Amino acid sequence: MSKPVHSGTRTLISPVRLNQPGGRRTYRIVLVLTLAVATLVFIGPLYWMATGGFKSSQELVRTPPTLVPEHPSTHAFTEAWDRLGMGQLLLNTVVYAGGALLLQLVFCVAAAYSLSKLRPILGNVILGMMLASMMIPAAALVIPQYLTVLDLPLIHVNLMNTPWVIWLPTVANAFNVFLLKRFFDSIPNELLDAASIDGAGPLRTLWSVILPLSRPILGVVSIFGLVAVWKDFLWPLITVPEHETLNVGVNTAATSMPQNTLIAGLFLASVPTIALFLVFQRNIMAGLTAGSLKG
Amino acid sequence: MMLNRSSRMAALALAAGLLLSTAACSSDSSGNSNDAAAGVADGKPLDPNATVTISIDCAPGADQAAGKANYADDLALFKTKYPNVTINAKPYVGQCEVPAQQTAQYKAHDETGAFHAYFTDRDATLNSGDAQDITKYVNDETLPGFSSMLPSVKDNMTVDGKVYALPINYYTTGLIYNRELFKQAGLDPDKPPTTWDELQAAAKKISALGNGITGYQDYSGGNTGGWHFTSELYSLGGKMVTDDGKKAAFNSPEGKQVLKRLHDMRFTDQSISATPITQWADAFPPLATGKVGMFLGAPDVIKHLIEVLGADAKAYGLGPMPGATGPGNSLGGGDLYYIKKGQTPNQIKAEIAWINFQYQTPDAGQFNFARAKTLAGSSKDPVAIAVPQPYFWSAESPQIKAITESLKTNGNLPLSNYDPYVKNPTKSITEPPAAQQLYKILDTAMSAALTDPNANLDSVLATAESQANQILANQ
Amino acid sequence: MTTTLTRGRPGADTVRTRTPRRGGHLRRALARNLRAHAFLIGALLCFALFTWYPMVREIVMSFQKVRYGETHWVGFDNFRQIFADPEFWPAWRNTLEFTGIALFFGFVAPFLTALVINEFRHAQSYLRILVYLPVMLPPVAGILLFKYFMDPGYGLFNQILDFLHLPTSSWLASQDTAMFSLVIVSTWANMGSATLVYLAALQSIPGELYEAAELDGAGLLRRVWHVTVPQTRLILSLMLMLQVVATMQMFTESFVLTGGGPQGSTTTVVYMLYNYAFNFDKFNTAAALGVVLLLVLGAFSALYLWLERRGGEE
Repeated sequence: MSKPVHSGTRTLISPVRLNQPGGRRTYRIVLVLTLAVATLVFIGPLYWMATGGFKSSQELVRTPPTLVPEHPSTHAFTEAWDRLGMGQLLLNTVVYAGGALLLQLVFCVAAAYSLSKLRPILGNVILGMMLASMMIPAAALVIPQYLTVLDLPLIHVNLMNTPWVIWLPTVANAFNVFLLKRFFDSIPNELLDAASIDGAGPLRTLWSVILPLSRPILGVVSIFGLVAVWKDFLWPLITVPEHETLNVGVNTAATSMPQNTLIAGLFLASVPTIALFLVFQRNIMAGLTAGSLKG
Repeated sequence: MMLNRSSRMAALALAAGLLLSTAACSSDSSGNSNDAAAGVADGKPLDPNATVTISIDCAPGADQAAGKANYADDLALFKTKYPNVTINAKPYVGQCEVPAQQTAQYKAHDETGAFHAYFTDRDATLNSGDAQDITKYVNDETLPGFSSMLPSVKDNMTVDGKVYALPINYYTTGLIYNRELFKQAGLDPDKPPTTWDELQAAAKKISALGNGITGYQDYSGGNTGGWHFTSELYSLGGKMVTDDGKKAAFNSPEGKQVLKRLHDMRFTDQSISATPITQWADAFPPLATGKVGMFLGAPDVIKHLIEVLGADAKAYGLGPMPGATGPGNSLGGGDLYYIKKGQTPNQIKAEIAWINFQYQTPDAGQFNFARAKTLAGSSKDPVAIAVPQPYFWSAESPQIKAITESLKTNGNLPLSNYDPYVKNPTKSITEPPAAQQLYKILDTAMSAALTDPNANLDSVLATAESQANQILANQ
Repeated sequence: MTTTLTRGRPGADTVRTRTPRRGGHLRRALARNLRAHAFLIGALLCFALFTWYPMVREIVMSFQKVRYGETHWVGFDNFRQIFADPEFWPAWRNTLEFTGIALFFGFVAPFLTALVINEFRHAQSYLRILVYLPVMLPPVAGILLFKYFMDPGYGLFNQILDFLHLPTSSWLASQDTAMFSLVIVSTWANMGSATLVYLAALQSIPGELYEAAELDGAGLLRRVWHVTVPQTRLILSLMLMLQVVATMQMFTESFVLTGGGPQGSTTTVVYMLYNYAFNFDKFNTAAALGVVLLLVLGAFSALYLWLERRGGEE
């Protein structure tokens, strides 16, 4: 007799049903089918991308296609690395994403803290105006934003092709401020009062009371912040054409490469984040699920 | 409770940090020099002793080792003629003139003293208000060969009789074809089709080779579809707009013929592949891998196939644009430098002198084929020295003769393969007004012809016509 | 309804009511406010520069035109021009078509996937990683990969269909299937994040509810409908709104895969806006289009909030 299917929490289908012989067989069949289909759908394309770079351009367009490269060659990978200027693109992207994350954390946390705990005059009006911007689709504002960064009002600085043009607009993220403020709201004021009796100013309080309690939400905001810069296309396409992000750079270079070099390039461009994800998947998954429930 | 000093400082620093950091990255874009000897606009070349600093964009960057070395060499040679001219050349990597880059320069008005643009950018460039009228500076003395420049080139340099720009590259579209596939299909590789009927027949024969090979390919999106439609319409003697430029004129027998033929080739003859080509560069990989017999393009495309996509130099031939009964008219294109407003006469003169030396002088700058030959010999990557083009001058001009001679001794491409193109110079016609918007509309028509087996081409073209009329009325 | 309108906002008036008129207190309150605003100012400046000011500027721009470097007021000319543009209505139709199909797939598929994954006692974390993997690719890499798969000739998809003796498709090459193909690409690349959110929501449903429903004799589908859906309603409706707003701004897929074709069938509103600005050099017309997009999506968000509040009152 095989072991009964163990269940932690009750879900849609009752464990009793599953532990009947028929139920268990159905469960196994569905599980195996799902695993097979999901692997095919989500890993299949990645397999094709990884092996495609080892094929020649002629082999890539052959019918019927070959499952395994006929004469594997790494030439396309080195070629793609050079032509894409992959090192530079990666560096640019890291600088953009890292700086954006840092600025977002500093300014959004400060703002959310002020709105939640310091409660200045007009604070609610400001919060309202920030939240209202959540209703505005980013793409609808792209034109005036673009003209604004070309010549910042009052100080007349052109941010085009500098990292600031990516960094600063990411701070104006109402969703971050909202998430953080709601989390800070849930921290009892008594904790802060205790700190202020000890003579701590607002900055000390933020640093030594609030932030340590806010690790989960900071994790979520960080993931969102990094992913947003990583995935953005239209904004970097028009504002940093001289120092492209990986996402935009791949598209630009794609137009002047042989097919196998292109596929190899796609693979190289995908490897860094996939590797990062696999290494940190436990933390990322935990952060995302925890955060989305809170939010 | 007293305000905690340290926390106040920190909070203020937080705020100030943002302001300071934005200010710190201010960029310096002024091209002014404090030169007392500003010079005068007297139509004379630059005084060789004048001290002047100029700036120019689109110099070869780090990704073009050979081009970069050549450019540095040219700057040094220029310095021997004009020892006191300092040139700040702004390099580019990848493609110069990415649309967003150019738009940004126009909107921020931070172009270099001489700035690059394509023929098709003329309206946008003049609209920026940054282009200088240089009529007074340009003549046969400052720009040798100016009077023998082709009318179609001059059209693109001038507006209302005033000169605004200097050409650095000019081409007329031709027929690029794969000589190997011609041979396999039993066609004469030295006699490419010169009419559309011949082209259609040849495409059919090449497609019969099978193995995923198609006879011909054409664009149907990304504004390139409309661009090629225009080219093909011109080749049959058709017009895009009426002479006053107020109405569309492409809903004509010629326009219908263009679409009908492509539709027949795609769906009846099956001599055009089912994969639509919607971006400029997407056309090239199938050409480079020998999957396509014929394609309409600039001579430069052959250079691109060899140098960028590693194609076999011997495989490609170049013929004239096919027409109704023989080689037809074509759509010209090219690159220019505009001169920025607000510079001293000497700066303008120096920029003209440099552009003339670098781009318009036989055996110098871009036409220094002897140097290119030496470099090609030591390069490990494929180098295609030059595919002949009309450049800017009429075929009889001393400039073209000198360039042709030099190419014969120094070139490394099979020049006889391009004879059908060189020996049949075709008349080139300028782009229509609101070109990009009309191209966008005609993308749809091309797309219908090339992707929809049941397309009603007459109504597609009629729709495009009424749409084009609306755009022209709104100009 | 009326309660919605009069619902108080706690804290809104606390600053004023707590501020006594005496000088020392005033100074203290002033200092406290200064300090609070100092914490705010970084984010505030960014919002002002990159959200509020551009919004005003967009509206101003939409009534202007620039000719030879000079700005003129032109009234409603730009709006007339975009409404007369033959692409305007098709672009909205395409955008809505994408949103519609993308919602069906991007909304239903992740929910069902989450539902199924949640039932498994094995391999849950493997499946979670699997669906999230494509989210990690640079979007353009995924898109270009599918471009290669969707080639009507040698493309992998048609090869597989052919092998299975199923009819092949023109994918991106025909106006009938192009938009659908874009949805496939977009769903593959993006469904991971939605799936994870739903999964988290499903796992917070108390098991007793299912048990109670089962005792009442509810079958599988009725349990989904009467327990699962109501219990995740809030997160479902929030995701729905976010996805509508996100898909209405679709640009990258069209830009990279189809160039807006075939026959304009994948030209979206944002694509049109990009063309006006960067291909036709008509920034003011593009701004007018931006204003229209702003109004439409703003109205949609407002409607959502209103419905959501009304739902909450019931």
